[in-house]
Amino acid sequence: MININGIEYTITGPIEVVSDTQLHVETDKGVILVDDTMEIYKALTNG
Amino acid sequence: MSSPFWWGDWRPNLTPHTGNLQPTDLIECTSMSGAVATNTVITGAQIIAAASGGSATWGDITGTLSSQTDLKSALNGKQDTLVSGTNIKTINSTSLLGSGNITTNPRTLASINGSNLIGTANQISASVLIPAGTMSTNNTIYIKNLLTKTVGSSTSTPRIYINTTNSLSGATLLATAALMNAATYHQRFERNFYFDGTNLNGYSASSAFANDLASSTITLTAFNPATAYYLIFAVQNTSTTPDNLGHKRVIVQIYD
Repeated sequence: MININGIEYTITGPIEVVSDTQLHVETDKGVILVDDTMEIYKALTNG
Repeated sequence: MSSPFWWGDWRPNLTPHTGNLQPTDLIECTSMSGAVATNTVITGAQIIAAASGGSATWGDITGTLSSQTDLKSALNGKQDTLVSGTNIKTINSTSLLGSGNITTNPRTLASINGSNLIGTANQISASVLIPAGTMSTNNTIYIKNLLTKTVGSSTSTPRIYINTTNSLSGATLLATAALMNAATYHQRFERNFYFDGTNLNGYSASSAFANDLASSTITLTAFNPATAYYLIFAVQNTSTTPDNLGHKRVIVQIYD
C-alpha cells in the first residue's frame, strides 16, 4: 500500500522506469506516474 | 398734428429694438374702433407667455411620421422583430429565440496546439482543463490528437495522463499512443472515455496504439465530476536531440 497525495494505492503490477526521474507504478487505481519530487519515489527506487 | 390711422406709422423713425425680448419691454400699439384710435401697451412678459405654448404631449403630436426624416431614418435602422426560421436561423430545428443556453452535442472543450519538445524526460506538450461540473454520467470524452515529430532518429512515446493539477507528478496514465520511431513522423492519436458515474472507461492505458478501434482490456480511472481535472498530453524521446515530438493539435470533445 502506498499513499500518493493523500490517496491510498495498492501496487498491483510492475514498476516501470520511464525516465531518470519518473516511474510508472501499476496500482489498483491505474498506472500512476511517480517522480522524484514525491516522497514515495525514494522508497520505490530503493526497494 | 393729426392722429395716426394705424399702428406702426405714427413713430416711423424709432430705433429698432436690439437684443432679445425682455419681460420688462413695452410694445406700444394702437387699436382702431370705428374712427377712434386707442393706444395701449403690451408687455414683453405677455408675448413670451403667449409664445411658449407649453410642452408637447405624446398623443397630441400630429403630422406624417415619414416627414420627420431624422426619426424615420433612425427607425429604418432598427432590426426587424426576430422570427425563428425567417430572419434568424435555427440549430437542428431548435429556435434561438429567448434567454438561456442551448447545449450542442458534442461540446468542444478544447482545440489547442501543443509544443514539440526535445529531451528524454517525459514532458508536458499540452494540457486541457476539464472544469468541475463538465461531465455527467453517460457522457463520453472524445480526444482527437495529431502528433508530429519534426525530426528524429530514435523512438518517441506520446501519452495522455489525467490529474487534478497540471502536473505529471502523481498523474494517472490514460492512454499511450503508438510509438514513433525514426521513420514515423505523423500519427492520429484518438481515444474515447466513457464515464459511468464513477470511472472513465477506456482502452488499455499502457497499450501503445494509435486508436481504440480494436478491442483491449479495460482501464478504469476514478473520476469525480465535481472535481476539476487536467488532461495532460505528454511526450518523451529516447534520445536527447534532435528528436522533437509534440501533440501538434489537440481536440477534446464531450458527447452527451
